[in-house]
Amino acid sequence: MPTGIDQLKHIVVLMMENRSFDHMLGYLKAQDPRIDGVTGAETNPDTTGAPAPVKPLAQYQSQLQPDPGHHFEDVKIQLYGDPPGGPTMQGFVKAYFQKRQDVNHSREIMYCFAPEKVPVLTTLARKYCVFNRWFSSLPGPTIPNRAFAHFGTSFGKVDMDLFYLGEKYPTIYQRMLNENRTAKIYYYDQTLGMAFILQNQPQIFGTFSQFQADCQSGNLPDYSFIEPNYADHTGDNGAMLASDQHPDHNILAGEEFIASVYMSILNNEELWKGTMLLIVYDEHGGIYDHVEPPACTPDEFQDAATGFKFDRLGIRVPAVLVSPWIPEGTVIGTADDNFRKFDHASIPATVTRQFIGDFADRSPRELSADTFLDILSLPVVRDDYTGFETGKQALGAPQPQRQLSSLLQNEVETYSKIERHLPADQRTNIDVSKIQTEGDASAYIQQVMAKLNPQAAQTAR
Amino acid sequence: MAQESQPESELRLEAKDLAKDCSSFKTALACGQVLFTDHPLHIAVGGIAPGNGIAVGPALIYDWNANENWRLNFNADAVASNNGSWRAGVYLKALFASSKPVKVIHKRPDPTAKPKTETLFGPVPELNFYVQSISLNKLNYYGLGPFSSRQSLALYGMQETIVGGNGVYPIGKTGLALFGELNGRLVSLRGRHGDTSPSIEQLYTESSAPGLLKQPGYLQTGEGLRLNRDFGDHFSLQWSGTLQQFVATDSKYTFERWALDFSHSIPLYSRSTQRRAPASAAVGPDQSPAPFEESRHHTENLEGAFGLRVLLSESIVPSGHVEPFYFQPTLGGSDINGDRGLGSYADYRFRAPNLLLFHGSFEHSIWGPIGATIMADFGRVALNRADIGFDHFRHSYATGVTIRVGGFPQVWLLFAWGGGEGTHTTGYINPGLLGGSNRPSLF
Repeated sequence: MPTGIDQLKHIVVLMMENRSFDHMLGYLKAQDPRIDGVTGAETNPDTTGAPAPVKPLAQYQSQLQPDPGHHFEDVKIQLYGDPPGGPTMQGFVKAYFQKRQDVNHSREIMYCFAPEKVPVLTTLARKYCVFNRWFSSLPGPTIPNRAFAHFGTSFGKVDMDLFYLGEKYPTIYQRMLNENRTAKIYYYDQTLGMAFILQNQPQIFGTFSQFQADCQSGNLPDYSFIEPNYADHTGDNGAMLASDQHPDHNILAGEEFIASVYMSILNNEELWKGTMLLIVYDEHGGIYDHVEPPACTPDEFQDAATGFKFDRLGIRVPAVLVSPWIPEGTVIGTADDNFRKFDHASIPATVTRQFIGDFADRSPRELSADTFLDILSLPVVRDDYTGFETGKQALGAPQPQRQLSSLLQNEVETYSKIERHLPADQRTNIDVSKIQTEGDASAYIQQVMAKLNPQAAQTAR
Repeated sequence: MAQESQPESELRLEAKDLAKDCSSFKTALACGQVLFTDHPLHIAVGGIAPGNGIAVGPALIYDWNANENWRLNFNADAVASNNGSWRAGVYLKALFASSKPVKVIHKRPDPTAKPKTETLFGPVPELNFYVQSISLNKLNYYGLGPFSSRQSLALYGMQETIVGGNGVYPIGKTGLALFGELNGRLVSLRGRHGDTSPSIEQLYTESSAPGLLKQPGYLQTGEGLRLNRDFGDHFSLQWSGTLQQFVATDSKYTFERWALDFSHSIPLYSRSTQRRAPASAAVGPDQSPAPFEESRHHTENLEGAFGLRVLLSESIVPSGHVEPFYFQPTLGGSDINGDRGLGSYADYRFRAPNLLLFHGSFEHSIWGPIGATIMADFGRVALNRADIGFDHFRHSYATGVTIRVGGFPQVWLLFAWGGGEGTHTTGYINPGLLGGSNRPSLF
């Protein structure tokens, strides 16, 4: 057994909300072609028939108003088009048009984040492990997808029904407690876990500040599931922004939350060596992704209203695995590993395998789900360091004459690769090898952005 | 084809939800959800002020993120209750979010440093603007001071219009925040006739109910400092100090008020995961310990906490000035804003410019989502600041059950007694679950 698994004492899962793989990580393909992101040539037809391309123009907030559709019927359109029958993954723009009948606005469902806009998620993905094939568990909304993370099944539900009490299979938390192990759902101040668990609440629930205290003292449970803040709300000392990244919540607040979870573990060296952190999104939120969800082992449950047998996964979501026992730049789900695929049932399956062992009382979907312990494959623990701090403290005033940092150099290269996909007459023709300062880099990136989206560049001026 | 705006799209989608969910009795639950919670339009239901019934009416909520920095929430409602009271208001909340990406660092911190908590997020500045008019038909007045009699109850009605705003500016991640407010207030009083109790003007005069004859306009400003800190799972506190200036169009009614509000919570059990030595570790002299048995982790399956709140509010009324009775704080049941104190007494039972309240509570999990609680209030009001002290306290006790969600109590059902003036049965929900409110205080 690899040393990393021998050393593994804690599994931590942070589940964010409603963003697709391509939207958050797609433009990493320019940095590492093994990552199954976007080339810039992907399109979806809008309601006029014109192709709407992917663009690295996603903003922290203000573009996805109203909330894109992500219920079962919406996802059917996104997957199979409207009317159905055409090529798959071509219905996202048309589905979003149904929410707001504005053609230009509907095309923004194709927007993806430039990697430097979301440095926490993209840096962790590059430094540790990114999954090319982690899918939501069903083509539907939040609650049944989260149920898969807690139970390994949604018991035949595809809707937002909140009642999951007295179900056939126990939650992963109850399984752990029954085996004298520890497991906790740490939440910000309102939990979706209440939908699944009423008993043993003091044992199973804790707040996020408790998670941080437990990291500091080294007393993290065997298994921790972390829920972000799901809503903006007024507090006594200012407002707290939702950090779940659900559209149209602030993406940067979510980045700061992810970084806080990671840093809380990283700052305790002993804990860091014995902990594996999975950052994953519950579902795609109606936002574009180019990979068709594959078929899977049917569940024993079926949704009566739609006849869905849970024999196909939902749309792909970002998933990043972090541990000092993972080789830098690991990409899972490539031709090398025969395109291994995962979904949220892989979470209880992996936790069960690590802490409980043989356990038969599980759904067919969980029993057939792949597990991800083997990714901790290094024989010795890594000693490199990657941390985060808030932009406000670190950025300071712009210094155009400052020498290019390696991070900014990477960004310049990313934009250069993106630019190569543009028609020849739309390229900047700037030789990026001659870019030496932050000022040069800034001017170059702005020029590429202007070529990509002249209208937005005009507005910005 | 004309392109649809965001408000138009939200209205169209809501109409679609309404048609889908409210066309059949089978979908009654979903229909109720659309009618009472959906955006942008829904039916608002809630208490308007103690003693004035439950108010119902249309409400409009519209969220709009203007750009990467500003998150705006518009809220408008107009509700009326069964006793003819009403409230109409338009509210705007604006939150400011940073747009500077998180910075990646590769320099390892000092390896000898103790592990520390790293929180990269924190509270953001908040601005609230409001225009609100409220008309309340039945408010209790027992006279001023701590020794007012139940038999001296008189009733009055009041309309108050408030236009202004407030802001909270957090000081980094220290837990400290600055608070400021500015508004204009117009109040008009009226008698209430036809009840078994007399109308206010039948029992009281301008000297026994200052402000009864004349209600000037006010410019009200306020400044404050707030502190909100958690100390792991051992202790948490919420402290606030505020100073308000009420400047009247008739200077005789100008006054100031300061208030200190200290709330604390002390959990009974650690919520941390603990290492517990194996049972066989404690062995006798002739026994060998099991060498390969690891220590186990465990967490308590019990939850409970003590709470303590101290509220002190005093008015600074210059010589020759008076503070209108309708702006004076009250103890008993709930005050006009719905805040509780001395729960067994009637609403608005004790009223004076100065107030001191101690509130102690204990809550504990029992089974599943059910918990039990017991509370005690000790408090008094005083006509003069010098009279505030530890004598002549009124007391009230309460006990009841709680419904716990995610390990903490969120719903309380209470029976209150004590003080010799009867009992009160009440229930309330953690306002955080309802999304909070940015309505201005009525006093």
